[in-house]
Amino acid sequence: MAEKRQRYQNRIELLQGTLDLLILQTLQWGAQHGYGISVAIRNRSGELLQVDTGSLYPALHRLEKQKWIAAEWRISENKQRAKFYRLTATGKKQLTRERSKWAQLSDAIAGVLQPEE
Amino acid sequence: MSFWRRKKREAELDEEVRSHLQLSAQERAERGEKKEEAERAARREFGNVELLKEVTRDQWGWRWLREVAADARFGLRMLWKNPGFTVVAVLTLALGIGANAALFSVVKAVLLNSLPYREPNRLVTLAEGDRETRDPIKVSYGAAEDWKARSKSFQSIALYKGWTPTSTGEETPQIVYGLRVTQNFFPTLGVRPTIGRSILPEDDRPDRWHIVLLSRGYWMRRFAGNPKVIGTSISLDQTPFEIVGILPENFQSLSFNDEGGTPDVWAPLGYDLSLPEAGRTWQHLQSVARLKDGVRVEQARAEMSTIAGQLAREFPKDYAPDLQVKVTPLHESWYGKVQSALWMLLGATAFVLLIACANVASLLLAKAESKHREVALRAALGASRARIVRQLLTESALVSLLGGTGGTLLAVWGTQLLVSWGPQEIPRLSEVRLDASILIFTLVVSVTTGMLTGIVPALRGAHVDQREALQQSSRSLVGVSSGRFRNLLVIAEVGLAFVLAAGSGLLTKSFVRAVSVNPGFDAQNLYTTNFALFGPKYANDKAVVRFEREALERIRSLPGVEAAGITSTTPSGGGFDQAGFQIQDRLIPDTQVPSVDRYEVSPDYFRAMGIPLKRGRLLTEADAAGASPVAVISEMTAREMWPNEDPIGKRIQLGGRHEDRPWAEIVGIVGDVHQYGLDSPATPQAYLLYSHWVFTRPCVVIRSRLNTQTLTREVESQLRALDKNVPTWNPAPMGEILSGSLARRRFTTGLFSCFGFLAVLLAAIGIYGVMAYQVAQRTGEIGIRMALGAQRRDVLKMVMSGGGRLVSLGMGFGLCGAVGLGRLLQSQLYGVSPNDPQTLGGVVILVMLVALFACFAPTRRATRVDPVVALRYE
Repeated sequence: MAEKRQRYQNRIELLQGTLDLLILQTLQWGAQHGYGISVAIRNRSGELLQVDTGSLYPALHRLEKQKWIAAEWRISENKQRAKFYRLTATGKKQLTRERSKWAQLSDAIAGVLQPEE
Repeated sequence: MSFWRRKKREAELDEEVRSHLQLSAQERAERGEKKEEAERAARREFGNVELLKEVTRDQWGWRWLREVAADARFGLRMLWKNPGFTVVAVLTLALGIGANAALFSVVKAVLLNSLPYREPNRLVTLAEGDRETRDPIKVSYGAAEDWKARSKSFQSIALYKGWTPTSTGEETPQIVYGLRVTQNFFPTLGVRPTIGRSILPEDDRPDRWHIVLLSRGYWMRRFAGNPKVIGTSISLDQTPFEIVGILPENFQSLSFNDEGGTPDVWAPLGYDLSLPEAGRTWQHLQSVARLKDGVRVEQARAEMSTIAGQLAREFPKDYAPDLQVKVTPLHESWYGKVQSALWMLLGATAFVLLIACANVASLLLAKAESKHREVALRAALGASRARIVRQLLTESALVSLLGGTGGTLLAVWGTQLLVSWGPQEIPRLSEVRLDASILIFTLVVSVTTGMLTGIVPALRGAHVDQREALQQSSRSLVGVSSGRFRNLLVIAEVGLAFVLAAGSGLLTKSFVRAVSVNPGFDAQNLYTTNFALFGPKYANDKAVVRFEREALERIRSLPGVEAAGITSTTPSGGGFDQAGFQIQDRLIPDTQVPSVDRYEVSPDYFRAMGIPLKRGRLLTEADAAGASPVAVISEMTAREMWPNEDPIGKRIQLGGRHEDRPWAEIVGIVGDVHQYGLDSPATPQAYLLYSHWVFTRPCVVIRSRLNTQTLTREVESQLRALDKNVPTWNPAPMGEILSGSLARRRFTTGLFSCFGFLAVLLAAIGIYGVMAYQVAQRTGEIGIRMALGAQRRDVLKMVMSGGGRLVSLGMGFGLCGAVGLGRLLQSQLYGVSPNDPQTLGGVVILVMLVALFACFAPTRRATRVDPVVALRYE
């Protein structure tokens, strides 16, 4: 191993809201099944965010219960049957809300971390 | 969350997980890993599948319910797999819960259900008495009038008396039970007839009282529910009575005294104020009154006692100076006598249930110990302690719910049994039925039982050291502390069973004492029946006496009849007739004179009854035919009235001093009889001749060896020959009447003893269970001891001393409890002291024998242990 990797442990208690945001965002680019979502998040975060399936699936089912995503069974590219999730209209609105919340939060944290002037 | 949707979701989740794994494995394979490697890596990366499924399921909601359902399913499967345990536990609990439910349904119907009148807690009974009166229930018309005039506590005061007319017009003349009531009787109770009208004030007059209301039951039986019967008349005592109304089905009438059946007809009292009975000194009516709104019973009592004082002062000739008025709430006067007995029985069933719970708890503890490995596995897999406790509790809850179901079935059968055995004296027995409140009661009891039996085994079972449990050792690990708790259970069981057994012993001894009391006459081969003379033909005294004499002659001439007599009141029959005892040369005002039981009899009565003559002579036919009256008194009367003189030759009058009437001369003294039942003390008695004090409803007593049916037939035919309209009723052998007077005692004693037996049986099973378990646990130890040289005898001593210690401790507690119980039972005992050493000693021996028997099999097994096998099993 050449580099030391920072493996960011994704704990469901701390980042439940954030995980929802990531999932909704991922689905904005098209319907995807659970495995695909976890791969997408891992890739787009540069291998930093490895979503553990123990958090992913409960989150997916929770979002489905809230009617922000909808599910249907389809055949995937490799001819396998999988449960595909897609964003709903209310889900899109929720995504916008989550994004602005995240922006506010990161501004707030940045403000605190700013050195004293 | 519907059931099918959940199944579908489960299947989908499964498939989703599978497809994820496949996709992941496929991707790895594409990157060059070997197929099995890829699959294994994918699974490892995925993580704990079951945990994921659990968490996902939580998202679906209803977690708590799902867990309980899962526990229940698992519990049921476990119970099914251990039929021995399940059957014993469920049966034990079913017995305990069933007994409680059956008895509670009786208690509810008799004691707790409100009486079927309007606002029944505002109703009271009123009775006159003085300090001498044992149990005041009667009032006089004059007294009631005085109270109505002076009292402000009552909305209305109603009076009634018993009435047993003969109804003619059917195949045979029939006696009908009924009441004569004042016109405010039904309004006071708040009862209206369903058809027709009630009694109006203008009907309640001495010349116009010939109307009658029928009970629904009588209306259905005799007239098949024909509504056109209103307005027609029936013939009672050869007088036409117009039927004016039918009362509702659920109407429970008050009855007069404790005798007679339930009333079927009601007529106005129509009191003739000119008769002497209307005065203040004839207490022959009963009263029921409704309190005014806002008046409490204590206030009414206080007011009545003030009024009683006033009346005694204003009318010293009519009232005793210590006149008292007893005000009793109606429900208390109905069931006051059976109340303590019923609560006592309910307490006994509670004890039985506790013992049953202890047995089942013991079984559950044993099972919990054997499951410690399974529990440890659950804990290792992530179950919290609370979850494990909940699962173990669910099992015990299931057992007790099953037991409760079994108990309900037993209770159905049990209540029917209780109702059919129950003595007539227990009022409202016919109202006993299993209704919703009983089922709720059973449910509550079952759930409480489940909690009680399950909580300790559950808490103990969940507390397990995981590492040790999962090792291969087969030795029991929950060890000492659990064993101690089971020993405690056994001690408790033995104690409770001892208390119940002691109670049963005391009650049984009381019953035996009561049954063997000499009633004062010879009840063997003695038969009684009643007939009535009514109507204008017998309005004349001479006609009545002539009929009675001829009837007696005919009956005496029957083959097989040794002696026959008549009397106005049967001993121990439930009725009574008391009268003031006036002695000629002692001037005591009527109000203060002592009362005796009065009997009007034929001369042969004493011979027929077998009442012994003590001094002087009996009454003869010559006396009966003669003009000057004579009397015979009982020993107790002689002793109390003439402690230092000879009563023979003295002259008396019964029922009031009348200087213008002849005095009866005492010619003989006979033995006492028990008028108020075998378990009541004897009372002073006096006998007059039927020809001088005429009565129209005699009871015939016949001494004969013939059986009841033959005698009934013969007597009826003889009476019919004289007058075909004369009804007979209540034929019974005297033995039956005597045992009827003890019916309540027999019922209580029998039932209590059943529970006592059940308790001892359950305790024996408990002892056996614990001993067997202990022996099984200590098999290794016994093997070592025997290998080291212990003899069979030593093993026996070791096992027995363990058991013996538990039983002795239990009996110690039991003895203390039994002493306490004796004090509680005192009202039910007869001739037995609460701490009767003979009974207690007997119970100690019994319990020891039972415990010995219970320990027998396990002990034998212990002595048969083969040390080689035991050690190898280690």
